[in-house]
Amino acid sequence: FERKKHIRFFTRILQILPSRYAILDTSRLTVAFFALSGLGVLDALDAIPDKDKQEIIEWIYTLQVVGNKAKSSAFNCVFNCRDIIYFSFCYTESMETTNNYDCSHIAMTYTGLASLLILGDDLRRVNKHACLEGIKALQLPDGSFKSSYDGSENDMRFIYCACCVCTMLDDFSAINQATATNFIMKSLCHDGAFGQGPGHESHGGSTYCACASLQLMGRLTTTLSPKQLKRLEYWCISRQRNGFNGRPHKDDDTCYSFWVGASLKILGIFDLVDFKENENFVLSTQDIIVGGFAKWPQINPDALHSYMGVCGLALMSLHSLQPVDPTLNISERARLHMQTLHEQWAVARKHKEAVSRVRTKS
Amino acid sequence: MHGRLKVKTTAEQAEEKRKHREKKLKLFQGAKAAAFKKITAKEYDREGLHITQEILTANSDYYTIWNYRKNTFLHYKSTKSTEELLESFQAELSFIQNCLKNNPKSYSCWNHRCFVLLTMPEPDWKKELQLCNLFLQYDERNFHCWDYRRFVVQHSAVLPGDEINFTHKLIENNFSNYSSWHHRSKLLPIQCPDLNDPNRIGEKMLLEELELVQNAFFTDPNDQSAWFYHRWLLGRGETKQSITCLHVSKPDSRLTCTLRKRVSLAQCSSMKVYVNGQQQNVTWTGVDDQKYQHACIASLLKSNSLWDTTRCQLSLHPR
Repeated sequence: FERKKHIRFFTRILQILPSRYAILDTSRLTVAFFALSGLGVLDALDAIPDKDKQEIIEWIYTLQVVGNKAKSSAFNCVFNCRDIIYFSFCYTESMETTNNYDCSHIAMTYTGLASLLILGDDLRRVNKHACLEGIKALQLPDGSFKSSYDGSENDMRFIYCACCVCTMLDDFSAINQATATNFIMKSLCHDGAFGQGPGHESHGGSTYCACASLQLMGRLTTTLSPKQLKRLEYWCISRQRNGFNGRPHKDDDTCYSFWVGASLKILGIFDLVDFKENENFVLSTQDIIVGGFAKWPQINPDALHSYMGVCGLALMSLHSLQPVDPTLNISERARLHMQTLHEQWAVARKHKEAVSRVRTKS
Repeated sequence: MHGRLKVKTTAEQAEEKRKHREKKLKLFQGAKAAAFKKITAKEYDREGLHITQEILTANSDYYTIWNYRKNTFLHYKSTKSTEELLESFQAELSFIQNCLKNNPKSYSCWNHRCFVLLTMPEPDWKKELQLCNLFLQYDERNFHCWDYRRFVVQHSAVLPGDEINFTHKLIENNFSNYSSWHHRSKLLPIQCPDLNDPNRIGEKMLLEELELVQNAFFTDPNDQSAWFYHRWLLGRGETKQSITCLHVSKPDSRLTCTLRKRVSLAQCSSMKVYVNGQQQNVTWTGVDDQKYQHACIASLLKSNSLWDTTRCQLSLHPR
């Protein structure tokens, strides 16, 4: 396990972010998240100088787009987004000028908030109300979420992002949990696992999103019957050949060591995994020269698989890696920081309520 | 991010690559700036389509740019003649197909194609089915393509029976075609439902399926597809109806009944309630808006003297 090389791999990614090198990548913020969270799990966040940490925090905040509240309830589809209430973290890499067509993207919102937490930010500059309203505006009548107000496909991935955002902001009031749960259950397949949506084939990624979403909403064991849970567990554990695959008869792929591994953790049967085979596979995809992991052996490493590879190993508590929270996909340390913030917010809320009660009395 | 094989390069080749990438970058940035000008100004025209085409050819996952094209076509719908529209949409379908050839797993591309099919005059669903056949030849596990196929089947006159035959062909070629088995699992309940329960399959079909799947796992006992499908099939057979729980609430004058097999409210109405030998006139309601329910609720008249008794006998006679 080439710890130093992986640290260098992730720090290099963060260095090239502001320079617009990866112009063809429309999801810059998710790449930053993989690098930051990767360093967090490697227990190497100190590899980023404090000054750079602050710069990254500033950059993330420049991506926060806040619209004006539309007075009418009608949201035109063909619009200038400045007129609309919705915001969140935008994927555009423009740092100087705010793009007039900045559009928020739910995955960027999730990874943006997660990145801030990882860097120890207190989320003070996040417009929480607008953020949650933005998430609310993305939920469709069938319970699923689209990724951006402009329009996109809607599926399990974005339900997961929505649940993560609500968890991080400690507020689930903006989403309709009942319809979201209904959509998830409609996506259950003949083999007991979840597809991206009703009718879709079951898949390791969507199964993770479904399990984690239900867990974050506190509905995993109340929604799935014991029989359904057993079938889900069986499907998930069947994904292991050496490493894990995302679907039966597909090749093992490093990222599923996390997607399926974390699902097994959530289901409480991670101990059934063959740790040695899983570790051997993930390490076989390691790049011993530049660091990082790839989806398969002899393939160039990339940010996503590098992060998932590290997390896949962390789930097994190997190589002195930091424990990972399987539902939010961030380190336990970052999750504890989030919890501390929630406690502070609760105290502040109580204080505010007490003050206003005193005011109304007098 | 999509599995590029490692290839050794010399320093010279690396420098050439860097220069080429820089050039591509500049062109891309130029196109992006031009596109966003159009977007901000809300100019939906041929020029905009041309600029965005260049961007999408480089990066077909750029959903904001696809949305500009979507808005352009919506604008065209209110300004162009049917003939011109059809021509523009046909060109768009060709363009999307080219993008898909390079990136067959792009969510944005397939999503945009759905938009085109739903918006254009006279969509040719047969042609779309052929497109699916083509892409499934490239990769029979491409779930984006399968999802698109289900979208096409849903919106066109394709019969579930034809689709079942299609999956049969694929399965006969390769028993390991998990995606085909999955597609079949969605079609069978539509094609051959058990009349008593929509989640069950009619017995004749069930037995045929069992034979098919047994062939599959006799051919290759290690094939997971067959075993998962088999397990699912075993759950599709008929079970006897029975009452699993009957709850009487005296204060609410309410009966709640749960059944082993789901029933529709119409079927519920044939359930008779007797209290101390006397038939009661009740209306059953469901627990939620699902058509078939495991549980149903009935209200009894509050004035009923039964409530004065300390002991009640109820018998239910479902159909």
